[in-house]
Amino acid sequence: MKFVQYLAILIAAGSLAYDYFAEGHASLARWILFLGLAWLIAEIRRWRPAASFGFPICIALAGLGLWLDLSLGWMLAASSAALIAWDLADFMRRVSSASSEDDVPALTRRHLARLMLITSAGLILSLVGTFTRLEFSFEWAAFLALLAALGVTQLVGWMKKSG
Amino acid sequence: MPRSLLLGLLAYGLLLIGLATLRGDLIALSVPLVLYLFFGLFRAPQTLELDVTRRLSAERIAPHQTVTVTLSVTNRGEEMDEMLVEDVLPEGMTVADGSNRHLTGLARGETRTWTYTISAPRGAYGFESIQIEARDGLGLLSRSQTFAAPMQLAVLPPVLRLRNALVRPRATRVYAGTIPARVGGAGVDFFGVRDYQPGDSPRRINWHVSARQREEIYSNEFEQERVADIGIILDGRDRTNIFSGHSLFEHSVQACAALAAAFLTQGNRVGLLLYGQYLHWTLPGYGKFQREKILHALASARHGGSDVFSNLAHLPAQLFPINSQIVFVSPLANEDLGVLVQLRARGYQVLVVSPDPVSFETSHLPRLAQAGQAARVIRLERELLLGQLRRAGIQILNWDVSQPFDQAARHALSRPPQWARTAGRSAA
Repeated sequence: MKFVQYLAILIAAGSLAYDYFAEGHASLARWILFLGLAWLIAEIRRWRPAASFGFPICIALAGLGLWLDLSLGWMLAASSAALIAWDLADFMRRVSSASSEDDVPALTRRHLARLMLITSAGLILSLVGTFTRLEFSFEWAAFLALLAALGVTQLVGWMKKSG
Repeated sequence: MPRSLLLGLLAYGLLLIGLATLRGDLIALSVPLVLYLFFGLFRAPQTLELDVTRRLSAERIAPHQTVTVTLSVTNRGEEMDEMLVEDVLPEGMTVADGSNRHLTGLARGETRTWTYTISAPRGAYGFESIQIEARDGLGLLSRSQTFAAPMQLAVLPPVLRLRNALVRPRATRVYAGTIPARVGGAGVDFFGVRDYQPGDSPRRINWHVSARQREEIYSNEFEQERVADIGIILDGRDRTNIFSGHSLFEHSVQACAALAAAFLTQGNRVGLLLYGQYLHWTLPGYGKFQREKILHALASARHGGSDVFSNLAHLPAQLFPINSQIVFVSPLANEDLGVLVQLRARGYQVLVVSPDPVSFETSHLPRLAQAGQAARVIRLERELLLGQLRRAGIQILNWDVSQPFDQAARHALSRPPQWARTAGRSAA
């Protein structure tokens, strides 16, 4: 599982760095590689909060990349890989509290299957969304923005309720 | 920051920026994150409908014996992707084998059972609850619940068997026992001579005395043996128990357990007073039930410091029947002399069982000349104190804790053989 996590970090940082470099942002690409390496080393050295920094930075860099008209494919690959790395970091933390009698391999199998399913579905949906272009009117955009804000409120409310 | 909040902020941030700037690719970037978040919300545990039970293989054990704990969880509600079950152990208890914490998934109607073993030093332990944290399959949202499963486990002090524990209180109770009652009647030890009474066995006639008289016949009378009231006081003051960071209290507890068991086996009525950080009084009683009560009181006994009970001035002697036997188990402080002598003066028969703090402390000190000299001075002081107590008529058992208590008590508390008792009486 660690191997999958390390691979995901390398893919996330590599995808971002490659496309930034290809589009002429060489210094930024070097920084991205450096950050990816730092995240990887932190995970190897079991510094727990590393993923909480690495994941949002990768998503922010992917968003910035799209803003700079970089390829959506590479950015999607980077953000999905970062999501996997972030998820596995937390899963490994949770599994570390299991005892030797617990069926950790079965839990891991189920978790990986679930994660792969969600990430694949997300990637497919994103790619479908990219090829299927929809024109939104301002009203639709405002409605969706309102819906998104409502979603955030619901999420915060749910979290408060669950303590 | 909670994971769900971080993910929610990132996903909705991308969505909002995408919508605000009319950039579809930013919205597309947020799709995997939103999907992940929705899955977490969809699978989030709502209520925990669980049957949680805990069983112990024993409710009372000796120190460092192990107890098997069986933990069982049945899911009566929806399927749970991930669940962390933790049996909250009382402080001081250690897991000897297995684990008190388990991570598992649990389908609807499924039951999981785990066993693990625990051990603990002397003490009374209360199990309170079992904590369960259920999470969605991605660990985004969790719900914790504490299930009450109160149970008690007593780790009793070891009880050494004393063959004899002879005490001679001034007053005894009416029931037959093993303590000489200072009253003539049926018994073993010669007590005196009295006029022959019809019904006396001819074997009891004292022919030597009768031969000296013309018409009178005399019978031997024996000392009755009865049960007595015995109050054991366990000294739990820090100032008398702690030496160079090491405690003599466990030895005192061990001595109390052995003495209480021996006195109760002889049929006596025994009570226990813990005098230390607080007062804890176990009412006097007889038999096996009282033995259990005393052992449980000893299991939970702790030494400690208190301004009020730092000396024996507040010892509630009125708890003990007048003229009864008091057994004071303490390493002793010099200031205790006055109170113990007072007890003796009020008619109590006092036995002091004193774990020797001098030999105990010197065994923990480095072998230096100064330490040896200091030990000699302190030993002299202690000998002086013990001598004063003996002169006041207080029976002393000075116990070097490097040897087992039953060995130390064998000589000091055993009944002298018949010939020695007879010789002693004729000498007197």
